[in-house]
Amino acid sequence: MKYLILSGGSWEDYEYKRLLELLPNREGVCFAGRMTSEQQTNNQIRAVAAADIYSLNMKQYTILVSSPYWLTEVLSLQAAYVVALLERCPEEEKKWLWDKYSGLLGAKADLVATRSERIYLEQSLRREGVLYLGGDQQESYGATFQGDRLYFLTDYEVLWRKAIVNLWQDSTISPANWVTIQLELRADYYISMCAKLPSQPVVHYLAASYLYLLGDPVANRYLTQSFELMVLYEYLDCLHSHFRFFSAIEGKTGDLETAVQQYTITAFTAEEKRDAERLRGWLHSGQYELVRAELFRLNEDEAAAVRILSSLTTSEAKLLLIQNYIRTFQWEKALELQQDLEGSVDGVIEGTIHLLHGRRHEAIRSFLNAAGQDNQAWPLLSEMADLEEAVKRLKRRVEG
Amino acid sequence: MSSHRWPLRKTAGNRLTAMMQVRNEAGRYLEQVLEELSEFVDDIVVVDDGSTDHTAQLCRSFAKVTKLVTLETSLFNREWELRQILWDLAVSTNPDWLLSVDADEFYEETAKREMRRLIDQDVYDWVSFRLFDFWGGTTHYREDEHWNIHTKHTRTLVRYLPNFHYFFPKMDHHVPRLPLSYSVLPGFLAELRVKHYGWAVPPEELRLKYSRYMELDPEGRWGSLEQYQSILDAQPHLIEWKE
Repeated sequence: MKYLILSGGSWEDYEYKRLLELLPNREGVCFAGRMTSEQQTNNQIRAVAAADIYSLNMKQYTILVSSPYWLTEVLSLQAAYVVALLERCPEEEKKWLWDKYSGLLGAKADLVATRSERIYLEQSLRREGVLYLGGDQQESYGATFQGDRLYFLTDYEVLWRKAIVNLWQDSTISPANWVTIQLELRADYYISMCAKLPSQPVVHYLAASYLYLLGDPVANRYLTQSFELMVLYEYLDCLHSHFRFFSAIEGKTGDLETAVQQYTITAFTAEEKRDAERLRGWLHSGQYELVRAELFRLNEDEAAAVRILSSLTTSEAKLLLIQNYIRTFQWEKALELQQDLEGSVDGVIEGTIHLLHGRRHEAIRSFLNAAGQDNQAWPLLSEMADLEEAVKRLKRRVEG
Repeated sequence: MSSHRWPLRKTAGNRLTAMMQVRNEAGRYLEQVLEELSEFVDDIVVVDDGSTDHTAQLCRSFAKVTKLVTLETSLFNREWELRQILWDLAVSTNPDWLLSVDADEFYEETAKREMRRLIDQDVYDWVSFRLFDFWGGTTHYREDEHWNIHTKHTRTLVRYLPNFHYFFPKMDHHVPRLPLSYSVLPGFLAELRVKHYGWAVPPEELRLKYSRYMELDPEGRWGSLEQYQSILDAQPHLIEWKE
């Protein structure tokens, strides 16, 4: 496999050099940007100018992209696979713009990997196939020769190689069990930390989070402990964070009626009360899959909601699926479903997609249509300008 | 008992259960408290913490006392267990709201009148009141550096929400009367008053109470030694109660 690296800056600043060395079946690696010939030789990487990446035969390439502002290129290159290396927003970038386009990039990628545990957990609640590029295991988990050099691998480096290989394999034959392996490692780590730090509510919450992602009902016990510690230490703003989580755990592994009631405990606004009423209605009419999917969405686990809703055919399920697609930045799927179901689409989403595909005029038209008559277009056009500026800054950094 | 109910927060027809833990209260204020509670609650649930007088018999004489558990041995030194037993007994009546009352506490008339309005709503899940420590009799309450509980609110009325997680801190003394978990739920601080007659006793009984506190907690681990000492103040600052 050949790899194309789309980084957030220069080769000197590139922070995934070791992961590049460990890439499986490394037939060739191109770095979009400037490198000295010595750097190219030492790292066995070929530098290509950003403008020349279109000359590569992308059907043979996997893209490793670590800035969301490459998204337009990523979409138009149509590489064999895309791996998004998601990062926290750098200080010099606008956070809302970075987070939005990171979300869109993550949704388009075949694999998401990140060194931020927070992003790892967020992405794990949004989609399948997320890898944490970090860990707390001290021992080596294996070794590999790359050329004549021997590498001892950490847990996540082993999983990195498995995850990349897994991209090329038929997923129906080779289930992505590396995801489960990593979740189990993280759960074991936090369970051991709970024993060492028995009065830390956050550690218990994280243990519960990983157990929940594994579908283990023991998550309930750790979340209960976390809740009690939060209350004892007077961190009282935890009703939503803990009780929506309780309801999702119950929805996944226990009794649906209890789960709905746990959600209802947190429902105070008119919208929340409507959600609770709707859940109750579905429960009584036996639409358990809708109940489950909605409880997951309300606990921000859209990945679990999408898994359920994708297989349902009712228009109610499809409407919920659209919401989940929108929240997880799977906007093309959302538009397609909206068009089928409602005969019209959300102009802001449509405009953003036009923009990302380089269709600037169509984007402006969609934004203007979406904005209506009351000058609501300005923020959308302003976002366009911000994005274009961010892309220009990226290209300047890359080209040095 | 169903653990599922709908709506979870009712705006009408709420059932109110009073819950009390008592010990050797016959001949004091218990009878009067039960009489008054019988006027405005639907059920009364009592745990008798090993009384040696006829407290249990007195409780049973009230029709609204629907559950009474008598402990053979007092749990006075394991207070959180006592609180838990009372809580479990109270929720076994499947209440909508619970009112935690001591055997020497009286809700003022306005509070009793407002009680249904306080619970028939879906906005908040607990109500706190201002408790006043009456001193030496039932006409004046005490107010000074050590006796000012009425300047804060005390949570005594709570909505029972099935499937919420309730817990008490596992302490031997000074355990809050209701589960700590209520503090994450929205509440209402009512400007309604509760008369506490625990100190509305003659001077010789105050001295006995002082001796008992000093015997139980000579180093002031559970409370303030200065406050214990202030029980013996010859001329405490008293304010006349006005209805």
